[in-house]
Amino acid sequence: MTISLIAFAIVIGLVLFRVPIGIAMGTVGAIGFVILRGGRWSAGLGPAADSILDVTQNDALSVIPLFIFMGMLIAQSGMAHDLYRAAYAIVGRLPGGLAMSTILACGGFSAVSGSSLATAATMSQVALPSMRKFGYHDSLSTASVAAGGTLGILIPPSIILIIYGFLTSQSIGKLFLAGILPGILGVFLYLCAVAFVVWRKPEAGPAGTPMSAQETRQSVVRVVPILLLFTLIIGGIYGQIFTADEAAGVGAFGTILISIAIKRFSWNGLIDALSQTVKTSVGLFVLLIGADIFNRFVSRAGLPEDLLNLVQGAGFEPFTVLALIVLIYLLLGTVFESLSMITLTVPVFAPLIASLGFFEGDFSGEMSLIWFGIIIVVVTEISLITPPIGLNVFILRSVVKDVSAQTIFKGVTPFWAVDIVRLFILITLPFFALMLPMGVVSFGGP
Amino acid sequence: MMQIFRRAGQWLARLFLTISALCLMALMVLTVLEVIGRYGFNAPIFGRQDLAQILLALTIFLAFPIVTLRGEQIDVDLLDRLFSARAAFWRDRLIALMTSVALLTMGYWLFLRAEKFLNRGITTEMLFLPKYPLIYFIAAVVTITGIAVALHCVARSVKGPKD
Repeated sequence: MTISLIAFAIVIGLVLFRVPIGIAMGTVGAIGFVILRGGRWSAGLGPAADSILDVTQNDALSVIPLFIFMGMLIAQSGMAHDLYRAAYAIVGRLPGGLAMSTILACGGFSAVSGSSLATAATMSQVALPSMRKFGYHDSLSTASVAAGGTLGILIPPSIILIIYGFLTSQSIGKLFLAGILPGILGVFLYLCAVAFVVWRKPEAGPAGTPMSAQETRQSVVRVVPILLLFTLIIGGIYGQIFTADEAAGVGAFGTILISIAIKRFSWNGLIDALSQTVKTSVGLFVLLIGADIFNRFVSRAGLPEDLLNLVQGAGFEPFTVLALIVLIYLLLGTVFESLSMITLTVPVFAPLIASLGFFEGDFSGEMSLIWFGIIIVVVTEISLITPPIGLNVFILRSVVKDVSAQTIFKGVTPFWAVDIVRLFILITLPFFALMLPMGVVSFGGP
Repeated sequence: MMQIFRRAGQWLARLFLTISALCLMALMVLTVLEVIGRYGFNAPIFGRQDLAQILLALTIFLAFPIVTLRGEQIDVDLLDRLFSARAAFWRDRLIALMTSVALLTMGYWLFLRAEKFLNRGITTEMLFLPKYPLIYFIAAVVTITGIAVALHCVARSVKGPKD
């Protein structure tokens, strides 16, 4: 246990020194391996080289570039505007209607994009101008985008869930299915938060002007292709028609077809999306390789067993352990960026969670890990809007330079509060996350 | 002289990025064809997995040198405020040095792996394509990137922090 903890401390030190996370984890993991094997270089560096080959030739991981590609294409196609208009057509006339439209559009955009930062960045350009036009208070308008944007990593597809699935050897398809209901719950609770804000202070978010029936119909019809695409992807995974990586390929291809059909396709856009995608993917793969090497090292060093013995020796209940881990994540999340936090910590905590025996039966380990994945993604979402580093808030800051981070954080408070409620619901009612994916388990199949 | 190097570098970077992008497109098309073939014609593409593995590796490694050399790997800038410009400069050189050593070490081990794949005649599972050329390619990319990071680090160090 000592060697893994020392290694972990060194990794954190290097990362804070701004060594790229993948390089830091990989180097420390490889050297740790060498030390474990009594200083034999071949025993440590050979497996590291194998990690490089295994990760980059793992065809299931083509889900990463393909979903990123799809997200980039969607972001370029202007479909975010369509989503916002459609949401406005439905709820725009209510008090706080524009903020509610923002939440709904964020939810919709999350369903085709795997990144919270991309969701917040895109939606801020779409939704903020109209909220400002209608005289929304800065605190409500910016906070609804910052909070709505966090849904990007929970509602599938989700890059974070893919990374988590890889690190814990869980099915990416099942993790995606597990994210759906908690994601919808998130949308619902955020809508409640908006309603609460405008109930307390009606002038913070006046109602929008209603659209004519014809306009409403047109706006809604425009987003039908996106909704169909999402239904195809998730329905396909749920019905086991295709795997997550196939869903990603079909999704990216479908997006290209849709943008041609609605006359928003451009070659420059395609080339730009491709080059952004490959660069982003390289970053993620280097991260995965490093985490994989480190993962192999800590399990070889016996850290999972040691941790289990430690908590069991201390007589902790499984739920106490879970609560402690969630607390650790909440604290780490206030300073660490989400992807780095998950990559750094999952190799340590996930094996412990899997072996604590939260559920009965043969699937206990799998169910625990899928449930835990959703929990830490929700915790990560919370961290995206928690001071002092809440990244989504700073994305908003870079778009609306005249609003202070303090104002945004203040506006975010009700959203933050309902997030805590959601976290509590997910922890106490595991069924909520597990219902969809475990339905898939019961009818067997690949 | 430096100009020619820079030009050649930019040209190479663009070429690599283009091929990487094409591999990604091919990966997407392959996946779609697989799904269509399986359900439309009850005929999955033979060797699809082999091809997907090769295309994925090519996509990643063709873009790897560019991302690494531009310093665009994922890092944490949490404590950046604690470093003065000068300290940050030397810190970045140190990180480059470490990256370069890590890449060169891995490059060497990847070459050993490639040699093993060649000697044992290991092939892909369905199409029985020899695996060693791809591994040699990966080893070469990692090694060359390691050398390039080292050269870039030396060049910057000679120039000094005031730039």
